Amino acid sequence: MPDVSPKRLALPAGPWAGFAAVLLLFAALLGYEGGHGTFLSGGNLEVLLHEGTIPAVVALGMLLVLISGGIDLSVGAVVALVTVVTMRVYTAVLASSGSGPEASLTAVAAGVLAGGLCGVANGLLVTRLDLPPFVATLGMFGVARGLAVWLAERTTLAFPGGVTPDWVVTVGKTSFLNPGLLSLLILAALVAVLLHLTVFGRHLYAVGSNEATARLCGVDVRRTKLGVYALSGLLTGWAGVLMFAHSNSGNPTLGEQLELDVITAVVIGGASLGGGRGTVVGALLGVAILGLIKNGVSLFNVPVEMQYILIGVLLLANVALGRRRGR
Amino acid sequence: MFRRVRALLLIAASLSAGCGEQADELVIVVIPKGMTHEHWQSVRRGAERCAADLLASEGRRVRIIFDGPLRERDAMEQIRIMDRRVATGADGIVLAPQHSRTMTACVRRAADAGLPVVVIDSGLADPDHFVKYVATDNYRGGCLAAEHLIGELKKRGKDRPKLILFRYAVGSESTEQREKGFEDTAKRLCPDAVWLSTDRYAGSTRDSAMREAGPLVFQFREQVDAIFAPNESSASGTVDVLRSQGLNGKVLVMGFDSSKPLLHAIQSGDVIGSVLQDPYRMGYLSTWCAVRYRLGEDVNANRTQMDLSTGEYVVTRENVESESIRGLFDPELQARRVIDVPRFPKRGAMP
Repeated sequence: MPDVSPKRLALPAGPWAGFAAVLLLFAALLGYEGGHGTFLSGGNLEVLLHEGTIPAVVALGMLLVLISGGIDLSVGAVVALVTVVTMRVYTAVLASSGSGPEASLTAVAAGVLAGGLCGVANGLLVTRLDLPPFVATLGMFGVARGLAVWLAERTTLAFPGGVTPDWVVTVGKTSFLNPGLLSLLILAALVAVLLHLTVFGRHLYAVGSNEATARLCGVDVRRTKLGVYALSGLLTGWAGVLMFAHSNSGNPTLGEQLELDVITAVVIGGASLGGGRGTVVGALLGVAILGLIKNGVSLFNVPVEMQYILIGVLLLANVALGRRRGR
Repeated sequence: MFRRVRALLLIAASLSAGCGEQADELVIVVIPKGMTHEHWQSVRRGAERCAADLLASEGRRVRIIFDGPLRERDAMEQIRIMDRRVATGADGIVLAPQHSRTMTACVRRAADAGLPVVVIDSGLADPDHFVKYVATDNYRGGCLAAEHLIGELKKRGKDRPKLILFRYAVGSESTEQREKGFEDTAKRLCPDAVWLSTDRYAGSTRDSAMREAGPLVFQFREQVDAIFAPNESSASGTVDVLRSQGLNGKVLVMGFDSSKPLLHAIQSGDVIGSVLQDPYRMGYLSTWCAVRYRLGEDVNANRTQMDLSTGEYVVTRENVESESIRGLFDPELQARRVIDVPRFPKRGAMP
C-alpha cells in the first residue's frame, strides 16, 4: 500500500498565502474604486474558471514534469501545433466524408495524439539522447512552432465555410457546466490519484528527489521519465483541443508564453524546479492566482503592464518565503 | 487560513455591495488590437472625447473603459477580454478584431447577451452580430496613394515608371485592400508602367521588412523608380534599406500610416508621401454609434448601412506641418477638433 501520510497530502501554505495576498489587494482596490463590484459577480467567477481551464490542464502535465526534476518549455508551441493539426484534420475529414461528428471525433483524437507524440519525442530526447530537459524541450519548442506555422501556411485557419460545429460553440462558452471545465476536474482528480496512490507516483517523487538513489532502489528511471513526458504531452494535446475550441480556429501564433505562465503558476503552487516536490492542489491554486491577477488587473482598469510586475513580484516573494520556511 | 480567506471575501463583498453604480451612466468598453501603437492611443482619445462631448451637450454620462491585449498577435487574450466584459456587464463594446474569423464567436456571444458591438479598424467575417463597422476605406486609401505617386513620377518626367509593390502579409485584409487599390489605380492612370515585383512580403515588423527589402532593392537598384509599401513598418523598413544602399531620395517611396520617424523622412524627402488614417475620429464615431444604439436609435438603417468611413488623407512634404494633417495624430490638436456626427432615427420608426 503506498504511503498516504498526512504530511504528503497536506496543502502547501505558500500558495494559500499568495491567494490571500491577491484577494486582499483586489479587496483594497474595490474599496478604493467603489461602485464596481463586477469583479466579485457570479458571471466573473464563470469567466475566471473558463480562462483558467487551459493553463490548468497544461499545468497538470507541467507538474508531473517538474516533480520528475525536468522542465517542459515546448507546451505553448505544442498547443499551437495541436490547434492547427485539429483544424487541418477536421477540414480534410469533413471534405471527404461530409460527416460533422466523424470529422470532429477524428480531429480531436488527432489533436491529442499530436500532443502525445511531441511529449514522447521530448521523453526520448531526454532519456535516450541524455539531453538536459531544458535543451530538449527548447528544441521541441522551435520545431513545434515552426511546424504549426508551416502546416497553417502562415495564416490562421478558420472552419470551412465559417460553420462552427456545436460542440466547439459549447466548449467556447463560459459556463459552470462547460465540458472543458468538467474535463479539467476529472483530469485533476486522475493526476492526484496517479501521484499519491500509485507506484508510478511514488517512483516519480523518488526520481525527482534523488535520481541516483531511486535507480539504486530499483526504479526504472528512464521508463518513469518517458512516461512523464508522454503524459504531459497528452495533457498538452487536450489543452490544445480546448484552445482550438476557445479560439474558434487553428492558429499557429496561439500559446505564446504559455509555458512561462504555466511554470510560474506551478512554482507559485509550491513545486520546485529541483524536482521531487509539488501537488495538484498547489498547481491549481497557482493557476488560480495568476488568473485572478490577470482578470482583476483588467476589470479594475489597472494599467495592463502591472499584471506582469505583480506576477513577477508574487513569484519571487512566494519562492523566497518557501525557502525560508524550508530552512 | 480558510477563515482568513473567508473573512477577506466578506469584506470585499460588503465593500462592493455598499456602493452601487450610478444608474444613468453608460459603460462603453473599447478593445483595441494591442496597446503599443500610437494608433490605438488616438482611438482612445477619440472615444474619451466623445464621452466628454456627450456630457457637455446632453448631460449624458458615458464611461470609457480602454482594455486590450498588450500584443497585437494575442487573439486568445482579446477573446478573453471580450468574454470578461460581456460577463461582468457593460452597455456596449467597441472592438478592433485581431482576426476577421477568429473573433466571430465571441462577438456572437456578446450579441446573444444583448450587448451591441461596434467593429472598428478591421473587418469581421460574420456581418450579422455587430451593429456598425467604423473604419478607414483602405481600398480608397490605396487609390489615393497611387494617384499621388504617379503624379509625382510624371512631374519628374517618368511616364513609364518602373514600380515595386512591396506587399505586407498574406491574409491581412486591410493591407490587401490598400495594395489592390494601389494596383488598380496605378494601372488605370499609367498603363505603360513596368511592375518589377509584386509578390514580395514585408512581414509584420520593421525588422522583417528590412530583411525582405534588402535583396529586393539590390536586385533592381539600377531600374526601380518607385516603391509602394502598404503600412508603417514596411515603409520604414524600405526607407532604412534605401538609406543603407545610398538610394534614398532617388527612389520614390509611398507609404501608409505614420510614425515620428516616417514623418521626418517625409520632411527630408526620403519618403514622397503617405496615406494617413483618422483613428481619433474612429474612436469618436464608434463610441457615438454604440451610445446611440443603446439609446434605442437605428444606427444602421435597419442593417442596410453597416459601414461608416472615417476618411483617409495624403500627407506630403508640403502639408506635413499643416494643422489639418497634424490634427490626425497630435493629441493637442486632436482636442481642438470638432467631429461631425451622424444623426439616426429611433429604432422601429422605420417602415
